[in-house]
Amino acid sequence: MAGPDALIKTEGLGRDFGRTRALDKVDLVLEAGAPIGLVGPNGAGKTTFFSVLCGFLRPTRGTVEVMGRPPLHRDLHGRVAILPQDAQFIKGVPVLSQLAMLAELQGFSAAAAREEAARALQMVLLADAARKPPEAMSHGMLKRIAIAQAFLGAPELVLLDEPTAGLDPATASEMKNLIRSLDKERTFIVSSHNLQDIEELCGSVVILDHGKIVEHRKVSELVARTSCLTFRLEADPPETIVGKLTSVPLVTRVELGRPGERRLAVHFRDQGDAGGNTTQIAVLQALTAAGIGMIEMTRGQSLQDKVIEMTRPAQG
Amino acid sequence: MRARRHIGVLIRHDLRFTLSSARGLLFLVFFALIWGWVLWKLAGGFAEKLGTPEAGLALSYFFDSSIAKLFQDRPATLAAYFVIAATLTPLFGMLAACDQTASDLGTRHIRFLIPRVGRAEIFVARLVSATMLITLAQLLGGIAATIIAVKVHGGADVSTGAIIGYGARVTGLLIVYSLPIVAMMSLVSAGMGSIGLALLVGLGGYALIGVALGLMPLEGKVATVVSFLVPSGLKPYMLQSEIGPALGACAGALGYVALYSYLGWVVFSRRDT
Repeated sequence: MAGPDALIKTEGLGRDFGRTRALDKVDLVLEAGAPIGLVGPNGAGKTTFFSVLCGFLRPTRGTVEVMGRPPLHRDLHGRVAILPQDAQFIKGVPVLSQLAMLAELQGFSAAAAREEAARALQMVLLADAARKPPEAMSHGMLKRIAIAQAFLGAPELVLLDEPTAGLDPATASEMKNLIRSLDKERTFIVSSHNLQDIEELCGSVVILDHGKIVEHRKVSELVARTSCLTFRLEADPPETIVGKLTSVPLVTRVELGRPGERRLAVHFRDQGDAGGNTTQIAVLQALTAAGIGMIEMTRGQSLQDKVIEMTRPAQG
Repeated sequence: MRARRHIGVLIRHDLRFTLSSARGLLFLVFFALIWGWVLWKLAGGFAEKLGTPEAGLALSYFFDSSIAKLFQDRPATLAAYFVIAATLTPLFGMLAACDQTASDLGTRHIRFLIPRVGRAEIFVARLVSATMLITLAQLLGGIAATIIAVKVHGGADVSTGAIIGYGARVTGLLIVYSLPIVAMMSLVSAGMGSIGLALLVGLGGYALIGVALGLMPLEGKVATVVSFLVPSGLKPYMLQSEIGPALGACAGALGYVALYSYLGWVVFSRRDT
């Protein structure tokens, strides 16, 4: 059931492209609060779902509501901001003028709109480029201008499609800091292939695969920081290690990576610091005794590993 | 109220962006060059010869008796301007109005707009700004032609007031004749989603109907129906020297505007962006 704060609600949502069913029976309720990640492998329907939420695509079946209204409803104008991945600015026109126009459309007066546009450019560290037309800018700069337009005014919901794609690491980090600095004031929905970004930014994550939602959970639950150890190994572990590790007290499950991944994840019951540490030591001892060489050990699973695991095609 | 404000903002910026863009400047330069040359010829008294009875015979033979009558009833300079402008209006109208929503859709710039304004507001704003651009161009051409006509014909035979009055009528009719072209391009640009393709389809469609009417043996009702598929069917009525048929053509032009705009809106409103 959707609570009173339901930001997004979909029921039986589906979208077809010809005979291809890109989205199928998507039922989802997203509440306002911490940033929400939208992830999935290529072809999972992530872009389609994001586009339907934004109102760029119409659903073939089912319904979608954003803050209780259909996407792009008049009442949502200025309250929902979108960073589209592939929209272009008008050539030959300085970006400040273009952002000022968009701010004017959000209700700012002409003079206030220019100030707001300048503020947004300052936020993305491009105040110096205000008078440049888009064709005089790099891909990364254009991405930041597109991010700036999503931060005009005070939208309550910001939908970001691949916000760090095409940015160098330093600029990507600045943009993530920017999002983090604003995530108390508004809700972000971030669609990205970069799962490390999602893990850093988001409180919860929606995982799509084959046009369906396979998981919608808190990131902390998925990565299981206090109840899992993940090992990167020197070689693929033998299957016999599963039996040895599951015999360790409190170990609940052992996952082997696919051949060539040289990965092993050991899940155990979280019983606070004392119990957890004892189990972890026992696991390490069991691996050493089995002669398995370790390169790296991390607490929990990375979101990337978890998503790969959840969206992996069934073998057999 | 908010919709009107949105439309106003979009029109203001659209006109400013158009006049500073390569495409907008290309249209204005092309328009100015062609009309500069034609008006320079008219200023040299070129059209006066077309008002003679001998020229009237030739015009009746090559074009239409109503064209010949126009040159005899009205100041020849303005009549020549009217005939040439009415012939070129579809071309200039298509050039001025080929974008509208095409580049919004093609470059997906519309994705920056639709979280802020409604589709209807975008559609209306683009239609109105294209109309304003072609109206401005027609107005400038009409004023220049009227001034030249006053210089060439003003004095003994025709009063300056009559020339200015007819100049205003010609300019007004040309503006009205431009409107269905702009509306037609709103439909084409929404359907094509690309400026180049919209222009190609617009010009191609017009040329196809021109060829069909000129070369194929269409007669009677078929020819009438085909000639009214595009607004050029209105041109002979606009060009008559009497006001009645011209007013009828104006009413017809508004009908085209309503039809094309409605179809354009249907296409634009249903498109994924």
